[in-house]
Amino acid sequence: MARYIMNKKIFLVILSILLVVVFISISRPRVYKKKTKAIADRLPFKKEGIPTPRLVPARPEDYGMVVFEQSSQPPGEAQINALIHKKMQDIKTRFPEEVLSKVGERIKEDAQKTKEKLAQIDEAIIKCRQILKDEPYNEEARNRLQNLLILKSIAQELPER
Amino acid sequence: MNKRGTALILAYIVITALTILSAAFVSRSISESNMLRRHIASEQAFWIAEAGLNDALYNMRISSSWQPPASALDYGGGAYSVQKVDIGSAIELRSTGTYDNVSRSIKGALLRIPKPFENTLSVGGDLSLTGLLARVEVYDKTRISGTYSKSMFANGWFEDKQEGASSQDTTIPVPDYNNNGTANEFSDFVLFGRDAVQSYSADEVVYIQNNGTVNIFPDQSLVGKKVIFVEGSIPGAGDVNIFFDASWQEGEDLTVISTGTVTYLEPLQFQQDARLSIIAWDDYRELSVFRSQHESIIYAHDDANFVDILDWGSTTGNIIVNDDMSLLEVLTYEKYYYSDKAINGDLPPGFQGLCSANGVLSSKLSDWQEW
Repeated sequence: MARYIMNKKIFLVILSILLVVVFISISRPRVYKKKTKAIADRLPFKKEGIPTPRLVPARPEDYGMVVFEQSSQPPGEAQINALIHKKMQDIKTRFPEEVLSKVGERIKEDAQKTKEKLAQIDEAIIKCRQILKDEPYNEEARNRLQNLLILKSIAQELPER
Repeated sequence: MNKRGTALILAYIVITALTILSAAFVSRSISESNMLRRHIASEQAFWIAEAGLNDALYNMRISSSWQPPASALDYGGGAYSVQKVDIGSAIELRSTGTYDNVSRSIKGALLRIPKPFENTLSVGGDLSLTGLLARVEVYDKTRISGTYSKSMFANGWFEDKQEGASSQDTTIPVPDYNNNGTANEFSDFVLFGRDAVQSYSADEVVYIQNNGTVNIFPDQSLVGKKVIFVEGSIPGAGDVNIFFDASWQEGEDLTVISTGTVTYLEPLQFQQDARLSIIAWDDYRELSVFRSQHESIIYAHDDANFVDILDWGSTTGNIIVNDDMSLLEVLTYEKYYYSDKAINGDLPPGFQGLCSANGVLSSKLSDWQEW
């Protein structure tokens, strides 16, 4: 008899614990899933207190950028041509065809016109080089020469004729 | 073994278990009902706050001297109260909606947009057209604090040009970011650029420290970026060359900030609703050899030079040059069109930092957020 009562007591204790666990799990407030989120919470405006990014300098090359270091000589014609050529190849392989065809459409022109432009640029380059020969420290002429060399390279590389 | 009474005990256990389970279900049901009530009240409070903010905006559009009522106004079964706070570069409107003892607050700002954003071209110094056989057309307002001059064979057409304009109408000084009492210093500009970077999440910005020239090409890793800040250690260092565009993405709204000179080479911006804007401490230069087209807001703290060779181009937006501007086209046809996006409060990323107390109050709400 004592054993019977003892077993029943153990049974009651286990049952009570089970019931308490069930009670707690049932009465715990349910966490709303994303799809039940309030409309207002889905509106596209900033919440205050978003953590602001720390000022950690990025590596330009991670974003396809190329840096001409200040300490080194400004890049010459061959260097600029190589850079623009390489970048144009990158762009052609990485960008979707429809983006590139839009670019091509925008700048399409006949070969003769491009030739005229190149001649015009060459003329301006010669003038700039002459100025720099006479005034080697003329910063304006140096910048202009650099820009003309880049434009010449673009004119040679860009058109989808 | 005597098993009399076992059934009674088991019945007792079952009844107890059922009672506890029923209590749990009732408790859960009450708790969910409370949560639902609070959820509905919170939604109601939000939209009541929204109504309050719109009411304030409506009143501000009628008169900028409007003052909100001192007490809360009943609305939609709840109430809202509105505050108007002048923070110098903007007027902030704050609204709190209350419903069933639940409150939610939202706010928005009416920016004070610098006056040069009312113009297509704003030149703090002189404007010169020195190109050869070139034609330049500028639609809407051109405001020049200095004078306009042109070479013999160049042709300039301006819809509304005014020389000798006040510098407030043509230039934007960099606000006093370092709080030393003097605005427009290089250190102010550096802090302004850093602030622009920190206004966005880390994946929307690229912050570069470099004294050389950073060449930016269209790259898919730049899609979705808002600010690229190239910071040099001294004024004029940290130049940037942008080739064609940066991301070639529709809806792009990217601002490139540099402590040096920014050169935009062959702008090829054909995407819908895209905008690539520039803020340069030093000069802005634009060069193209083919047809070019872009929508940009350009701010050069110093000079701006546009060089086109044998082609036509168009720029839509606002060009603000604190010093001189020159148009060096050779056999080209260049057009400048006005965009009222900025003056209406749709400023490109980073430009909010140039707003100051002297500006024109925008008609649209910016920086709308819950707080």
